[in-house]
Amino acid sequence: MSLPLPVDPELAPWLSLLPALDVGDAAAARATVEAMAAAAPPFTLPEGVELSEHSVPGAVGTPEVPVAVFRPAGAGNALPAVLYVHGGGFILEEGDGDRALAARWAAELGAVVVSVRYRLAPEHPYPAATDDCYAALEWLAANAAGLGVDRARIAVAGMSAGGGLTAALTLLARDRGGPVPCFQLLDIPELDDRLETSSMREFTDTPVWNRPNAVRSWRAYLGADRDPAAPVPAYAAPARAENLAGLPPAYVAVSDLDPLRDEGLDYALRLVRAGVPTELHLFPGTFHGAAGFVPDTAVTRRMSEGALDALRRGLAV
Amino acid sequence: MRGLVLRLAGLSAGAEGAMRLIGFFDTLVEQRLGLDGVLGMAARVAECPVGLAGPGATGLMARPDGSTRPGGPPPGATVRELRGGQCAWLARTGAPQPFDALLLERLALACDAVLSRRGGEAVPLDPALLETVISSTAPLPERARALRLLGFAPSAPLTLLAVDGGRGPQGLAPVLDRLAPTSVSRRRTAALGSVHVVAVTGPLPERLLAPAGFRIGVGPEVTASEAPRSWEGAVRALRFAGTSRSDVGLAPVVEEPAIYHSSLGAFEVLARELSGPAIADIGDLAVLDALAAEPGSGTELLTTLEVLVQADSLRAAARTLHLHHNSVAVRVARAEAALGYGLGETVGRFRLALALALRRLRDNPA
Repeated sequence: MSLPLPVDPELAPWLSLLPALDVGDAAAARATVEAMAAAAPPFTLPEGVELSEHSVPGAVGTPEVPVAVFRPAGAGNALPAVLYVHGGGFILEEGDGDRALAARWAAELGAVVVSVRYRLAPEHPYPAATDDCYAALEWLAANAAGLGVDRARIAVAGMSAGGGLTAALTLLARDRGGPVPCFQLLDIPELDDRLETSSMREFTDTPVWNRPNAVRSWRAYLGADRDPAAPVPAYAAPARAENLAGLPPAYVAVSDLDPLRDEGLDYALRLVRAGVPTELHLFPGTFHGAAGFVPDTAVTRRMSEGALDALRRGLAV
Repeated sequence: MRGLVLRLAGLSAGAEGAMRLIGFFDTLVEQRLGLDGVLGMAARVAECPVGLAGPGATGLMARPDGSTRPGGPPPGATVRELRGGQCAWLARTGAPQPFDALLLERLALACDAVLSRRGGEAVPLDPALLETVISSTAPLPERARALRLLGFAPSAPLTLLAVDGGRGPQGLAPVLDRLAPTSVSRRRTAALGSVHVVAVTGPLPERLLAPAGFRIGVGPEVTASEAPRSWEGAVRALRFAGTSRSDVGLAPVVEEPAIYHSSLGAFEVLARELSGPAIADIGDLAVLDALAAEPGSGTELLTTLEVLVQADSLRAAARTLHLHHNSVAVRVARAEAALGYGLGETVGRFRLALALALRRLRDNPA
C-alpha cells in the first residue's frame, strides 16, 4: 500500500496488523469485528459507573430500540447527557468496544451516556438507523427527569457512520421541532454519499476506510433497490443539507489519510459559514479509526482527549 | 470502530497473520528505531515484557506500555540468541500465545539490525566491566575476563576514548556516529562519573571533531589487556581538549578537535605532573583570562589565538577561521598589546602555545 501522505511514525508499524475490511461482504466484515472483539479482554464497567439496558419505543411501525445507559453512580440529578452513536459504516457494530468508550465518557464527564444500538444495513437501510437514533434522542429528552438528566444539556456524539447519523439527528431535531441537542460531536464523520471530494476520489487504498468501502457502505445504507434517480435526502447524507443554520455548536475531527477527510472539512466550513460555532481538528498522519485501533500513541491520545475536552466544553461540565 | 484495539490475539492464525506480524517488525527496522524503540514497540504488540540481554550486559527490558528500563529476563522467559551473542527474550505469564515464537524471532532480528548498525554500543552495559578493563589495579585475569564478557579478545588491539559531555537525551550518539563504520569495529561504552569511557577495536578516523557540547581525548592503541595505559593516555589528552560550542544564539558552532594522545609529545608531561596549585597564578594565563572575558568578542579572540599557534602563518589562520587576514591581524595586534609580547616570531608563538595549553590544563583538572 502506498499512502498519499506520510503516516505518523508511531502508527506506521501497526498498519500491517490492520484487518482487511470489506464492508461489501457484511457477514465476513462482522466476523472480522467479532474476532477482534473476542481478542480483547472482557469489558468491565469502570468503578463508579452503573449500566442499565433499556428498550425504548421506536418510530411508528418500527421495533423497539435497545439502548445502554451508563450513569455515574450516586451522582445527583440534572446531569449532562450524551447520546452516543457508534460507527461501522452503517453495517457493523461492536458491542464491547463502544461500551468501553461510552463508560469512559460517563466516568470522565460525570454524564449519563446513552449508547444506541440502531438497526444495521444492508438488512435495514435508511431510514432505519436515523429513526432508531431519533427515537433514542426523543426518549432521552422525554425521560430526562427520570434519568436524572438536565434536558438543556444533552449532546449528540458519533463516530464515522455514527458521525453522519449524529449530524442527521441535529437536522431532524431542528426541522421537526424536536429536542435540539446543545452540542454535536462529529468524529471522522461519514456525511456524503456523492463520493466526489478529492480525498474520496483519490484514497482508493487507504487503511480501514477507502473509496471501495465507502461505495459499498452507501449502497448498503441507501438500499440496493433504491431508484438511482430519486433524490437522496439530507437526513441520509447530511452533506446534502442546503441549510445548516440553527444547528447546535459542533466539534468536527478528521484524519488526513481518510477519504472522509474532505467531506468532514467541507461540512465544518459550511457550519461556520452558517453561523454555527464550530471547532475543527485535522489530525495529520492518521488513518480512519486510528484512535480506536491504536489508542496509545501521542497523536491518537490527542484525538481521544480532544473529543473528551470538546464534550466537556459542549456540556459545560 | 472505536473499541477494536489492534491485538496480536485478534490475528488469524497461520500464514497471513504471520506475515502481518513480520510486517510490523519490518517497519520498525525500516524506521531505524533504536533499541528502546524496538523493544518498546515489541512489548506493546506482545502485551508482555520483552528485552535484550548480555553478554556481560545487564540488558534492557520493555514493559507492555512501551516504557524501557535496565533489566534482565525474569525466570521462565523464552530466549533467542542473536548473532553477536546477546539474547532477545519474551516473558509471557499465562499460556503461550500462537505468535510468541515468531514474535521472538522477529524481535531478535530487529535487535540484530540495530546492533549491527550501531556497533553494539547500544546494549546497555554493566559499567563495572569497563571499569575493570581500564583499572590499573585490577588483576590481569580479571581484566581479561571482563574484556571477554564485553566481546573483546584480550590480545586484540584496543583504543580507549575519554569523552566529556553526553548528558543530554541523545547520550553519546553524536560522538559514536562520527567513529568509523561499525562493520569493522566493535564498541563498548560506560559512564564513569562525569566522563564516558568508549572502548573501540578497529581503526579510528585520523581526525575527529567533537560534536557540540563534547570534549574528546583519544588514548593510544594498545593490546586490550593493557587497556589501562590507553585510558590513562586518553584522560591526559582530554585535559587538552576544548569543548565544542553549541550553536546558541548567533554564535557560530566551533567544533574542537579531539586530542589524540599520540600528538601530545612532551606536552603529556604537563598533563601528568601539573594540576591545581601548580598552574594557579601564572601571569600569562591571567592575561588570556582577561582577553577571554571581554564582552562580545572574547571567545572569538581566544579561538583566533588557538588557531594561530597551530597555523603556519597569519594567512593560514585566517583561512581556517574563514576570515579576512586583515581581521585576524587586527585581533592579533589587540592580543599582542595585552600580552606584552609579539606573536610574529616563534618564541612569542611558543610562549602563547604554552600558556594556552596550561590554561586548558587548569580548566580541565585531572
